[in-house]
Amino acid sequence: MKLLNILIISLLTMAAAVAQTPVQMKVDGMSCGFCVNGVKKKLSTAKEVENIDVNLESGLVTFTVKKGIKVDRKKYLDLIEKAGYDPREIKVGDEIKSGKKAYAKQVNYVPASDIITTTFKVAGNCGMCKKKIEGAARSVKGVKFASWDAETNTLTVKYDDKKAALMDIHKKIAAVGYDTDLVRADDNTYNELHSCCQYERLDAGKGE
Amino acid sequence: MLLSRSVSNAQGPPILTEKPIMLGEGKGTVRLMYVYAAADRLNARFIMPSVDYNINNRIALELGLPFQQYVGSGKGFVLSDVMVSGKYQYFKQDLQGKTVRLAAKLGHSFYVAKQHAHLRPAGTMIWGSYGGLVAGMESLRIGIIGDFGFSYVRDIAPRINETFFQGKLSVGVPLLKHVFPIRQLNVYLESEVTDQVNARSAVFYLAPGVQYVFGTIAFEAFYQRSVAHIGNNNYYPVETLGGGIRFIY
Repeated sequence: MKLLNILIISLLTMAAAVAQTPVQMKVDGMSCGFCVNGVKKKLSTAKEVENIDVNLESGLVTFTVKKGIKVDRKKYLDLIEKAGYDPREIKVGDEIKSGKKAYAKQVNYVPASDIITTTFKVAGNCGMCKKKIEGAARSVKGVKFASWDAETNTLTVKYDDKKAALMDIHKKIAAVGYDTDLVRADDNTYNELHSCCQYERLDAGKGE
Repeated sequence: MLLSRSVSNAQGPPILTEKPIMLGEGKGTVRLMYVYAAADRLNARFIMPSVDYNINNRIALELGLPFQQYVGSGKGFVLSDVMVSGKYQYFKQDLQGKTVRLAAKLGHSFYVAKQHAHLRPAGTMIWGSYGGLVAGMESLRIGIIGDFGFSYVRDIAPRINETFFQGKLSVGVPLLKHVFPIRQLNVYLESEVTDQVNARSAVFYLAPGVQYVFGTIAFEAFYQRSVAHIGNNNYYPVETLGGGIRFIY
């Protein structure tokens, strides 16, 4: 019976640990064993942070975030800077095992899990259409990649889900005269396209 | 002057030498030291509480309140010089397990003690200002800190003001493997030179010390001795023995 209780408690503890989100930060400048206590104290001011561990040799600061609470990377980066050190990298969850770099100060750095890749139909004809369609898609803030295939009339786009909405991409393409499978271009705008660009309209295009 | 000045200005490891800002915003240390200082003509004991606080990760303020007792005077401890100082860290380069930092420091001491009937008053009897630089390189294996500056003291003798150069150099080495929570034993060898700029009077000290860090608390002890001097050093400490505790809040 006692053994069963121990087993149950162990399983519950493991379950609780799994439910928490692990975070790993690479921090530069940690060399003073006494002073680095300030890092732990500063991180502890975030109530959702638990199980803080600091490894001076590797420069890693690891902790967990309570279940159900979103990991706010910027908050933890700011806390480390306020503690007097330089955060170089922050990884959350599966990123820790992936081995990929996750630089804290990388320009336009976006955690991989927030990038969405999708494809959809965009009608068009030629190389000029390709240029306009891709240009319109990339002009939407948050879009990282856009490539239109003339043969299949398919646009592949990668965008940051936090910064861009898919419908905005559809609307922007339609605004320059090209039907998508969700948004139909205005007739006047379509008519203004160069003759070689006037593709067969998508009847399935839905105007908004 | 040096009976009350040379010990209390240290912040964080090392023990006697100043350190560039290593803690972050809203953090600081509280420190309590007990020091026995022996000079040629008189000996004194000090109880030295001090507290420092980081306004942000670049600016720190410190307050020191040394209480002094002359040995054999029959008197108790009295507050001698009140010391206030501020540091501004203007350079920081952090690498993995290593950091280089530079800070500018300004300080002032206020003479507040009463005179004893037949002894020199506690403290320095004078108001003094200090300006200097603190430079430090710390890695996981060694810490080298330098603290150099000038003190200007008023009325060191009737209508005589004087300038002193004060330089400190500390080398510290951790002995144990780094673990977390922190359990570390540090050993230090610190040196200090004090030179009265306009007179032939200078003293050079060496001070071995040991420090045990247990989480956010550090216990430390040191022995400082003058190993060379030029000119009259009747009131410079010949040897100083001290120990204390500090913690991060």
